[in-house]
Amino acid sequence: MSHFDEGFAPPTACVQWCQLRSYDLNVLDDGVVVDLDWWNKHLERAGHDIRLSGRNLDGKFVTDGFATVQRNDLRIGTDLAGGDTTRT
Amino acid sequence: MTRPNESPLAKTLTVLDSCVRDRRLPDLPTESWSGWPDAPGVGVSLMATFLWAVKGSVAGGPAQLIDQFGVSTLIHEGWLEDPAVTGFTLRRYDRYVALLTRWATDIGTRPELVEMWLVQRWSARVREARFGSHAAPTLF
Repeated sequence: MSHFDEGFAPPTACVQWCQLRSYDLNVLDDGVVVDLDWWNKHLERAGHDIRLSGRNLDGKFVTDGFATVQRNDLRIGTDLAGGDTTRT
Repeated sequence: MTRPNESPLAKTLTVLDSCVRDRRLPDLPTESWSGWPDAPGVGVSLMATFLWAVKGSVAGGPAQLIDQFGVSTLIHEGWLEDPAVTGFTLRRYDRYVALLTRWATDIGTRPELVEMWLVQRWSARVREARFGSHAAPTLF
């Protein structure tokens, strides 16, 4: 850590807020609704092969319409994050 | 274009592939003043998000998202740094990550939650300033 930041402690409100929340529920399950059709049309038009997918209200995998993309789904190694991880 | 056959994304993809493989930024000899690898089209926030997604780390600790609202809160709370996230050098991002990591350790939580608080705190302050007593009491 930079020595300039020594003694710069987290504000009380931050401490309380964080202690009342959990990583799995509040970070990984945090999601946004996206219009997959809009994004995939633009990806196609730009010449990219990759397509965006998401989850419906039941948590099922969907590839069109409006869907939720959770923060956990961005992470490598999860179902929706199709990445080229085979080259390691 | 000097190399018309090369995909315009080639440079960027090389950097991102390297991040996936090594879970850290490539050590390419970079001419950039900022310290970030040369990945055209990828700004500070997107690179940070990508690094988080591939479980990457920087010198300061595990990579964390970075948003202008969050940095604005940090500065409002007394952090002495340049405010604009778009101009963050890699060194300054390292300092940011190190601070979040230490705060999380002090609190006994994860840096991701600290980052989330920073962003939401700014939004809550803006709401309160705009709507005053009509806003839901969100200023925590």
